[in-house]
Amino acid sequence: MKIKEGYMLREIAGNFVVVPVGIASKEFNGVITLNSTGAFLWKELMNGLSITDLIDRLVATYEVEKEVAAKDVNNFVSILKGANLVE
Amino acid sequence: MNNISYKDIIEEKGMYVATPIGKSMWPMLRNRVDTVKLVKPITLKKYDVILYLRKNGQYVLHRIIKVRKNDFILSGDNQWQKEPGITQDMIIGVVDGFYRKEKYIKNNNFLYKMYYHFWTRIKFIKKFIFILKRLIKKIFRPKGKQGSSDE
Repeated sequence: MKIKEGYMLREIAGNFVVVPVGIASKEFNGVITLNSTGAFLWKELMNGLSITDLIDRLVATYEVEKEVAAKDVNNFVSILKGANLVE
Repeated sequence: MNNISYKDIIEEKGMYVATPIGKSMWPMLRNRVDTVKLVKPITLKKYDVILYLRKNGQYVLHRIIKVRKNDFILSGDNQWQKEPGITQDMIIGVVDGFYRKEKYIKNNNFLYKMYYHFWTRIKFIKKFIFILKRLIKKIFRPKGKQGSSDE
């Protein structure tokens, strides 16, 4: 799974926002605000990663329990899928 | 999304990030490529780039080229036309900085200041040269081509 082309993650004054550029700006009208965990997951997904790998990365980086990480990752991914932001 | 929403976001989050559409602010902002960070407009001054809502419902991001007592005069960096009559209530946000691809440029950046001081001056010289060239072209156009549409 990978974030679609044309979405740029920006960090401005401690805030993480994703903005569409190029053709993506014709398809998606708006901005996405992320917290630091969301930004971490977003960056990982930019390179393409499976859900299992994503959970493992989250556990390794944030030292959370696997069940909690799995729930968070699945929630995050379902939001991305709902907004048609991943391929 | 209406202007209340944009204003609300800026009020609540302290900023709004957007990808400008159009070429009127070229070369500062490229169509659907660069992004701007908008903040709440407090004291606006000449050369500030602002997002405002025209009376016809169109959102516009242009530069203030003159501050008057009751309104502002605006113009795009890639335009010669001046737009007077922009009042405080029409203004949604002011550009605090912008991304040129991955590089963030704040509006107090020295080179950026150099750019807008220089560009806003030469663009009217460019207008003069453009008109002059059109005039010369019209005068010296071969008779056979009279009336052909190149405009």
